[in-house]
This record gives sequence, C-alpha cells and structure tokens, in this order.
Amino acid sequence: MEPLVEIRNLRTSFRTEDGTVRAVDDVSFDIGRGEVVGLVGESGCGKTAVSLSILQLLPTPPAVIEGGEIRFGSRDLLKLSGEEIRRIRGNEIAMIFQEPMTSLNPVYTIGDQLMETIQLHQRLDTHAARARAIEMLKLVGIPRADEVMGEYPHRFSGGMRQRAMIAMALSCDPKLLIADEPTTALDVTIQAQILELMHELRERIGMSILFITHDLSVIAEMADRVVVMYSGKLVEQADVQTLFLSPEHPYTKGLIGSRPSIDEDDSAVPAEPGLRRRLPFIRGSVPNPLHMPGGCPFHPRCDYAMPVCGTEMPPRTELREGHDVRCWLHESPDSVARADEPEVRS
Amino acid sequence: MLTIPVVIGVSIIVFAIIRMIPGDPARAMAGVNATPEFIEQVRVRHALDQPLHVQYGRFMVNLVQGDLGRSIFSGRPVTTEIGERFPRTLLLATVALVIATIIGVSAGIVSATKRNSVFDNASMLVALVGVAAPVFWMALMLQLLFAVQLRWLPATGIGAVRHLVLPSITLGTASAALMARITRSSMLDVLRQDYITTARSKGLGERIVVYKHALKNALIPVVTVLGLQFGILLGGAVLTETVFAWPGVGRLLVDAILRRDYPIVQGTVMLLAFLFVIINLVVDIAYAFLDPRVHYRSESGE
Repeated sequence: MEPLVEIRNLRTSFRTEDGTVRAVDDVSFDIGRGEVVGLVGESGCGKTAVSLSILQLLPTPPAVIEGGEIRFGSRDLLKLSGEEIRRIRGNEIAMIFQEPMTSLNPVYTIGDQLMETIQLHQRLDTHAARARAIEMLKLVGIPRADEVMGEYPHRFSGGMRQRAMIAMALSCDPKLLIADEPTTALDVTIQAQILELMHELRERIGMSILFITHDLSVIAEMADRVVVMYSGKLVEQADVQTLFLSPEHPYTKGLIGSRPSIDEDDSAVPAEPGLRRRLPFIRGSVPNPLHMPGGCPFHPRCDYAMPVCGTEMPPRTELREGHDVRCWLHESPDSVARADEPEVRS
Repeated sequence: MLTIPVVIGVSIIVFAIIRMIPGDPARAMAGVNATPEFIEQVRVRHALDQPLHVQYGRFMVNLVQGDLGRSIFSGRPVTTEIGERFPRTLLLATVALVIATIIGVSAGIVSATKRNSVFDNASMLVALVGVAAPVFWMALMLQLLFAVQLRWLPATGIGAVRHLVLPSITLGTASAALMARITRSSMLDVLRQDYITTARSKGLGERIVVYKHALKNALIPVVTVLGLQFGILLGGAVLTETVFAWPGVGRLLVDAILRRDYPIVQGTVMLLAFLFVIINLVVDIAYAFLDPRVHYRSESGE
C-alpha cells in the first residue's frame, strides 16, 4: 500500500547572521498508514525542523525550505498555497508539542481553544462543536470534562494540559499526528500515562504518528519504525526490532549502547576493580552547525572512520527491505578502498 | 488597597511643598499698596497665621467633608473653580488618549507583524521623535503649520471640535509614541510564544493568530501603560493648556502657583492624585478581564 506521507530529499536551512545552517539535509523517509515512526537524534539534529517543515510552521525568515518534496496523498505539501496548507493543519495533519505549560494560550479557556479547531475545519454549529469538544476531553481521560471546558489552562497540571493538547489535535480525526517530544517535559509517571493514552488512541483512531524524541526507551515503546538523524542527515532507518537488535550505523550503535541498563551484563564496559561500571558514551560532541565537517558529519566522533569518511557523504545503502543506512562501512568493498579494520573501542 | 495612604501621603507633600515656595500669599492678595495691618487681616482671615499642623488638620477635616476651601485670589470655593475647569481638561485628555491609543496600538501591531519592514522602521523613528520632542515645541510647530500657514485650524481657544484637534494631538503624541513602542515589543514577545505556533498548527489564519491569540496577551502590558498615561495626560496638560490657551485645570494650577493661591493648588493636586489612584484601580480590574491568571491569584489570597 502506498504510504501516507513520503518525504523526499527534504532540505531546510536557517539563514542566520553568522551564515547558513542546514538543519535538514537531504532527508527522505515514509510514514505508512497507521504506522508510528519514531524520529530520534540528539538535540539540534534537525528532528524538530523536519516536523515543522511538514506543516510549514517554521518562521520564514530565518528558515527556508530549499528543496525536496513532501507527498501527502496526491499533493506535495511544499507546493501548497498558504490557504491550502492551513486547511490541512489541525485537520488532516495535527501536531502536539514539547511544552504543555506554554503550548496553550493562557487567556482563552480550554473549551474556546478546542472548539476553535473544530469549528474551523468542520461545519458544526456551536452546540455540536461543544459536544464534540467534551467528547474529545473525555476520550483523553480528563475528568469533569463539562466543567473543564470553561477553565483556563493555568488551572491544569502539565499532564492535563498535554491531554488537552492531544484532545485538540485529535478533534478533527487527523490522518497524521506529529508529536514533537510530547513527554519530555513531563514527570516519569505522567509520561507513562500519556504514552499509554497515545497507544490506546492510535489503536482506536488508526492514525499514523510521527513521534519525535531523543529518548530511546520511549521509541522502543511507541514506534513501529525508527528514523535516526545526526546533524541534519538521516543516518539509518529500520523497523524498531532490527534497529535495537542489530543497529548498523556507528552512531546508532553508540546511541543504543549508551543507554543505562539495570541488567549488569547488558552492553556494559567491564568495570575496573573497585569502580562502578561506567556508562559507555559517544566521544566528542555534536559539530557546530555553522562549521560542519566535510563528508559524513559523524566521522570526527566515529571509531571506524576511514579517509573517505572525511571527504564524501556516503550514499544510502539498503541492507534489506526497510533497513537502510548511510555509512561507508556498508558500501560494497570494491567501490571503496576499505581502511584497515580499526580496533574496536566500545 | 493603597488608595487611602497614597492620597494622605500626597496631601502632606503638597501641603508642605507649596509652603516652602518663597512668597507671602497674604501680601500677594492684599495688593502692592496694602498697609501691614491689612495684610495681617488677610492672613488671619485665611488662617495663614496658624501653625502648619493646625492648618493641615483643618484642611484635612474640610477635605473629608468635601470642602476644599476658598480660593485666596477669587474668593470662590475651590470645588467650584475646579468643577468649572476640570471637564475641559478631562475632555482634552480623553480625546488625546483615544487618539494615542488608536494610533499607537495599531502602529505597534503592524510594526511587530511586519518586523524590519519600511513601515516598522519609519514608525519607530517617528515614535522616537514623538517621545523626544518637547511638548511646547510640538505645540508651536503645529500652530505654525496648521493655524498660521495653512489656516485650517484655530491656534488657540475653546469652543468647536476644531479647537480640540491641535491640543489633543500635541498632548497625545508622546503617549502614542510610547504605546506604539510598548505594543510592538510586547507583540514581538508574544508572537514568539509556543501557543502561537500551536494556533498556527491548528490551521488558523494569520489574522486570527495575530488579532485573537496574540493581541489579547500583548495588550496586558499596554493596559498598564494606558492607565499611567491617562493620569499623566490629565496632569500633564499644563503645558498644552498654556500654549493653546485652553482653560482647564492645568492652567488653573499654574496660575494658582504663581499667585500662591494655596487652596487651589492643594485642591487641584489632590484631585489629580486621587484620579491617578482611581485609574490604577480601574487598570487592575481591567487586568482580570484580560488575564485570567490575575483573578485566580487574588482568589488564592496573594
């Protein structure tokens, strides 16, 4: 079946006074119908820029979508007029954000803000819109939905506000929900509740979700398929099991290896006597987006780096159906003169 | 509820300051050729021979009863003098404030939404000049242009709406400029907030995003300035009223100070202080309408 969204060669830049920052560089991936795609990477890797590019919510200037295609049904979202994209926002594609404390307008009631979306996209009178809003609040597990309609956001806790945001986002039955770190700002227990709610709603409504996070445990729980980004580039994508069990890109391996684990034997560095086990980490830090290293942006931090890595970005290699990676290690040996196998540091 | 302490504080300061100004009201009233006996009589008649705290006590007792005393100069009750002139000042200040708000807030919104555009830069330059230009200079320039050169509007006096145009523009210019700047910066700040992205992500048009979601939030600081400005305009009409020969309380006050007419000065300043306090009270109430958080904060006893 044809995927719901096909992102092809998306390139988004920010023009700053110090130079152009390429936030999204040649990123392509699909979101299938009913599929949950996890988009992972460190802060500043371009995940949010991808999500905001889809609905063209980046402030322009400084942001510029320089090229690519975002196919949604028969349309290319990047070619739509302002009016056409507004008819999709909140209706066919909805979004929830990281900061529930600041994502709701403090001077309008929850009811106003919910009904606004509903009345904008559906031909409902005030009465019917109100009924729909209350139904949505109940759906996301907000108690006393009737009274809550007339309350202002500051009366709500973070978890409740995020529920209200979800209710708002889902009120027009979107085909795609973009969730940009929706649980990052919440307490762990609340986070679990929100994830469970999203799980449940996805089953019930059958929408696709683009779930953006830097938290791999959340990805493991939520996603069907995972897209890994590093410095604006897509480095690996695979279904969730493959990615966790046999990651192929050194960056993905590093990410998965550097999770803390309760199980002593799991992916740990042997402890020096008398010392506590140290958590493995990826050495170095994310490159300055204004001074990107040439070639693969990860090569200065990569334990397997070869000469070619510093000069050319590797192409996309499909290892098997649905699993591709952009790394010279996986290019066919004859196309690249392979450097000596480096010693493996974990 | 600081209203009462503020009014009492103002009364003490006004009472003390006017009596520090050199000059003898009894002598001023009695005239140049008055005999020392006559001057003394005048002094006793107006209780100016009493110790200061006694004078203040009498003033406050009368004030509470709504009696501000009589003008030393004209002999008429201060309340009558003020009552005659205050409506004119109120009219002038209100018209100036309305003009300033309409121009200032709209210019601020457009500047913020079209940031760094030609309009933005031009209006902020005009605003800077508007804040910086001295009122008397503005007044004279407007008179020169519209009354003397173009002969469109009368230079001075009161009567028709035509008479109101130049003084209210003069008086309102600085306020308009200030409001434009406050609205712009407040609006820019609000437009960066997450809930604005949320509003856009819902598919709302830019007009609704700006005028519904952003404006109500951006107006909160503007309302504070608006209240303060109204107080300042009422009191600050002094220069404008002088240049345009507008017989309001501003000119009454200036004349009274020059004549050492203590009761008029006290009465006028008390009135302005009282209005200032009342306006701020109204502003606080207006907050509750704009910002629901204010209402609940006071409910929880803070």
